[in-house]
Amino acid sequence: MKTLAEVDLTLALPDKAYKKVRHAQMARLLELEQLVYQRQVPVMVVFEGWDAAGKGTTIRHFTEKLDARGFKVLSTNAPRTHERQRPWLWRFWMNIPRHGQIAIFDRSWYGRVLIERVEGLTPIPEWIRAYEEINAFERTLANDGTVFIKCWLHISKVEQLRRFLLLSQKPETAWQVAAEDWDHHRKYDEYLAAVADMLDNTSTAVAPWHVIPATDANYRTFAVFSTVIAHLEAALGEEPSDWSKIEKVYQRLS
Amino acid sequence: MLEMIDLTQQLTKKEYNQQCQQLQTQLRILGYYLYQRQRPAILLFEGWDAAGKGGAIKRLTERLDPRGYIVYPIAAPKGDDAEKHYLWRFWRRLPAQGVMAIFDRSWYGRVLVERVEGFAPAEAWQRAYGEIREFEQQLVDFGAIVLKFWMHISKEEQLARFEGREARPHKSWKLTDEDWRNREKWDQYEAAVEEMLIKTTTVHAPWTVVAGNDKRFARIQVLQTVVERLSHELGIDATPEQLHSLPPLAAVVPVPEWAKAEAKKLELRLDGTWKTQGKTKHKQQKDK
Repeated sequence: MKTLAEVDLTLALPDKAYKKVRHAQMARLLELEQLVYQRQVPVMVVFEGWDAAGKGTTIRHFTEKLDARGFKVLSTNAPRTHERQRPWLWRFWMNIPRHGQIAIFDRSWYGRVLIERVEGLTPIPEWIRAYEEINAFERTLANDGTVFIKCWLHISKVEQLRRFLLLSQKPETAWQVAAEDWDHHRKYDEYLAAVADMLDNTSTAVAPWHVIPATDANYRTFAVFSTVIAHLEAALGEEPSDWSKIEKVYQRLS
Repeated sequence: MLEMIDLTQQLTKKEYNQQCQQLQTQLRILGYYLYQRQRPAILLFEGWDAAGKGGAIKRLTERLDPRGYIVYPIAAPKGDDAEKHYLWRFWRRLPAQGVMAIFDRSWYGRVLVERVEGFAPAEAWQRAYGEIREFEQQLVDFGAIVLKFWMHISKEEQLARFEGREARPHKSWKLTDEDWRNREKWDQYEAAVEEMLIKTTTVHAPWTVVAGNDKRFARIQVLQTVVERLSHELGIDATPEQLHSLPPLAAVVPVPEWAKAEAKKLELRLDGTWKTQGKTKHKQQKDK
């Protein structure tokens, strides 16, 4: 797994190449979804990343050609009252997938060591303890056969500012940039440190992290799809797909 | 009621593609407003075997934000569901405010399969029409938008589709002995459907009978019905011409002064383009 510093954020995929491979990847994802169901394997796909990095759009593309009965999407926000009355992982245990189902998390339990850490919502000893609690949680599920695919969608501070400005420009999209998003942008470096710790402490053999360069939308989607496909193929013992032809066409953003 | 539907209605591939994309985009926008207004939406699909329930649902959800909807495939009740009142498993699955729940088959099984196959005694399914009307009235009173679709095909079309499924290996799993047995009881089912439509269509939870012989026509009819109904209930016109004048989904926060200063230092214009180059450095994000 590449560290944040090593990740090449200039990677891009030209439209033509992307269009060619997108169809094939979506078809493969559908096939794998069916196999997941037949073999009764639980799958958890976790999307974390910067605001405006493209988690929502990626999830939408990911599920576009999937059978709606085989997956569920869970958005994680601040814990509700009844959730606070129980151990913090309870609300995630409540949402684990059935055998044969894919659960897609738009933000997840990692909020404990990201926003709750940086914004001071959780006392320090508790978020420090959380890394091990998370590893134990994932290990227990992996022992039951769960396949974990964890993706951190990464953009630079400058790119995040650029996207916020772009969204704020048009009334149809301006509502997407809330006051707290600007606030988080100011704390980018603190969040970056929290992300680095998260990747170091919670990337395990059964549940590794993947850092996805998310500057270019085409590359981001291609990389996410490739990662998910590779994981599922390995877990199901299927022929690995070969996307190496596409890798030759990578561009670099200036 | 069923004989009144014109099953010869068709759409060309071109018409279908054009309308499908546009309607799906409108539906996505309406989905966001549904969330903003915190109203639940409940869509249910009933219909003949092979009539196209799954296909219609797929085209409805294809471009929707997956965080805003959930699909429930309904079959014979198992486990806890089977040990409780027939409506319990549907009460359990009602969507939260702002979320769309799509039922592939529904509580109407009570007055369809359970009636024809004798799984429920006569006085139970006869009582059910009133119970269902009351159930749906409670949902509507709560603020839910309820849409009900009967996917209708002709008996001949069903046979053609069954034979088509048999012939294609990647679809043959969809055809079971049960489907053929159900077909033998076509007339009984037809009577049950007619009674269901008459007794359970209400002002706020009307049935839409979909002309299903032409798949493309059927899918567009479904999409159009949902879009029109949501637009009407939410008071939002999401057609392409009106996009720029939609009300904001959340409070719009102006770009803070410190951010403008930061942008200036980086030679970034306030619209996200770079000053050092004439053209935009990165392609604009399409398809938001």
